[in-house]
Amino acid sequence: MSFRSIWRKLDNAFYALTERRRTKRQEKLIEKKSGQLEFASQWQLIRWKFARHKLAMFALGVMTMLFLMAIFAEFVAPYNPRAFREDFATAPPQRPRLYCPEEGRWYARPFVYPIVRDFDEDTWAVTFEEDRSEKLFIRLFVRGSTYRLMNIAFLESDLRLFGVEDGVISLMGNDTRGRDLFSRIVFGARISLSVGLLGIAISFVIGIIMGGISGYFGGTVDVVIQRIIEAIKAIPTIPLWMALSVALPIHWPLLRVYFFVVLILSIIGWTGVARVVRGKFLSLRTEDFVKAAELDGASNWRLIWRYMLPSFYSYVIARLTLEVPSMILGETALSFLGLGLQPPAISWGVLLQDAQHVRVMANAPWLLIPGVFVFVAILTFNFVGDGLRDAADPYSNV
Amino acid sequence: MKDNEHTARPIVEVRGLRKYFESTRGLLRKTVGTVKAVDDVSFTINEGETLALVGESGCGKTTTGRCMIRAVEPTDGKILYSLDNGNPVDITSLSKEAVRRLRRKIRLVFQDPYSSLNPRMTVFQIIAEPLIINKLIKGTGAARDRVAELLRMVRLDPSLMDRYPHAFSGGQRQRIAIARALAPNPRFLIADEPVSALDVSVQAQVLNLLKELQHKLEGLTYLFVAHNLSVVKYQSDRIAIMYVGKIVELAETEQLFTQPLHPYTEALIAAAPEPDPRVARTKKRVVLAGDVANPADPPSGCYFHPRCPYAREICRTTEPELRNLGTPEQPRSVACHFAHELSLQGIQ
Ligand SMILES: Nc1ncnc2c1ncn2[C@@H]1O[C@H](COP(=O)(O)OP(=O)(O)O)[C@@H](O)[C@H]1O
Ligand SMILES: [Mg+2]
Repeated sequence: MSFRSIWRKLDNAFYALTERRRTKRQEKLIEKKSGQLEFASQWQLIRWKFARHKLAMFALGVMTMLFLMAIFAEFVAPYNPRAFREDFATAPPQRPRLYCPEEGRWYARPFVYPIVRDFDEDTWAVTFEEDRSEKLFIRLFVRGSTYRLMNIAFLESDLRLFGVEDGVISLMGNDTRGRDLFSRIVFGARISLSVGLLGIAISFVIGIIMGGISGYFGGTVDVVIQRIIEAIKAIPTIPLWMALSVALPIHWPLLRVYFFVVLILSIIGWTGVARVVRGKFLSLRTEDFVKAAELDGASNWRLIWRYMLPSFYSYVIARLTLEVPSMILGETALSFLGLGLQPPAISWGVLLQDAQHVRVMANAPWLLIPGVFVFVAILTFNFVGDGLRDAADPYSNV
Repeated sequence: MKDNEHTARPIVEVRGLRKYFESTRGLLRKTVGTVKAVDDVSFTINEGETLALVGESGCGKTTTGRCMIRAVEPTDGKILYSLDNGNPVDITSLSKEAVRRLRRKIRLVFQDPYSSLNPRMTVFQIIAEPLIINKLIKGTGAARDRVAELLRMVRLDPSLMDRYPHAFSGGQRQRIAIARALAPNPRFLIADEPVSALDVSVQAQVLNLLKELQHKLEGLTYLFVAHNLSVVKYQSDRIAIMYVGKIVELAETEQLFTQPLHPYTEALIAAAPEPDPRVARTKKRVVLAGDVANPADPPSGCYFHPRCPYAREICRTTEPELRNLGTPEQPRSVACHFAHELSLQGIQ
């Protein structure tokens, strides 16, 4: 027997095995759902179908954590994001450990070594080193400086998710002014993630209205709207942003700048939604069940709200989820280039401004960690969006 | 039904119906071609009768049916509908509101029950929709009673009314669609190929159901569209054969099958699949040669001549008229130059 045939046999056996397991799992699912499937509304079907998408489920978990982190930033961050220790500028991250090499023993509770500042006699450069003689044990729910959760007066507390007693913990190092990078990233999530959500919310409203008008009424209106969309899409984004942010008065308060940035991003974002909505309207207009309702005497409103919108807003939501990353990236890019939000605002893009200088990056590579968060956030939105898109049409294989 | 033919009262009379689709190009909407989907079609349907409209795909059957409820706006012609009180109205000149009211009395059953039911509504919502929209019923209780009654009528279990369409098979879905059509108590049902999207094994059930409903709901009239003759053989009182927008033969069912007068009818009879498998084995199956003529660019003379085995010179040059060849008791008409000479093959 040749190697090849043995290999093929093995492969077949493996395939048969996994195939059997797969069908068994499906049977179980059907068994569980039988008796429910007939009564399942479109949302239940979408949920079931989405739940079968393992990667999307995992991404949804990560996304939930990111959002919880953003919402409860004051609690999750061990320090005030604006508190700084000038002496400890660009101090490196402390590594959480369970094993102490000096003592040669394991601990059940993770700990970090405190960082001490030193001075290199030869180069005159400030250096930081771990002080191995002391351990700072990481504890959950420690008391720290007081804060007001989401700036709501009666939610005042000093309880933090984690921290150390008698010392400082800086899991992701300090920035160029000695502020705890992790705390800043946690707070940055607020702006960076909410820009995405608010941006798609605005895109959604504009997109559905414009796309709906375009697809439902057609004719000249349709042509005009389509040309506008093409024109907007043809504008290169960076120059457009630059032009728009030049128009942004320097004395504007933070909140107004924030909304302005969201608006800039939405101006581009709605075109994609409008395209999807228009296409769906066009194809649904000729769908038999819509025609049937029209012949039943349903009004335009009833056709749109009861027949057409429910048939495609799952697609639109999936599409919007896939649109979030470009919003987040847009905010990051704008702020990074100094065109969007500026310090003292904290967003992932603003944090990355610190990483603009090669010298800083060489000495303090941890300043790129906000980029990792951007990357992870974008991936999760993409995975979740993919799962939603596959689940958005629950009638394809039930 | 055959026995009320002597008391025949027309419910719909179509006269010279035309529907031309113009295809346009460019921003200026210049007409680049005209599809004569329905071209001078006339027929009468009597109350309680089933008229079958048969022809290959693309012959204009759907368009004809849809013109009758103004789902498609006719280009020309009259469609006289006699109201409950016997007075005729011309459907083509009705106001929007009147058309709405008309559509409660003339209902459409779509071809594909998979696309004609909204997957996001329960069976109850689907069937009750025409009642609710037209305010024909008050209160959820009354609506549920009516829907249950309708479901029983189409032989479905009323306890299934809160399920979604995806829980049903094709045949069951078509029953649901029929129940929706029957909801506002129509007088006239246009069934557009109601079984051609269904599995052969369930076609007969749906056909029988339609027949049964006609018995039960006295006076219910059908325009039954089909693309093959075997489906309408036991279903229809009369059959109109359509080819490229025109009716080429119209006769009583039995007469048409035993003694076809148009070569196209003969070809359709020969091509019809035999529903009885024992007979099917002994019969040789003929497949219709060639394609349906392009309605945007039809041939000269008789549209059927390129596919007709009996075509002669005159067929290429002159279009035959639809002539009355029947007796006053058994009217029939045909559009063929040689209808009286050819002796065509039918079946018993
Ligand atoms: N909305 C439309 N626009 C343009 N052409 C159409 C339209 N509807 C039907 N047609 C054309 O009219 C002809 C008849 O179509 P149809 O009535 O659907 O035929 P059938 O139901 O017999 O298959 C076909 O050639 C078709 O392409
Ligand atoms: Mg058709």
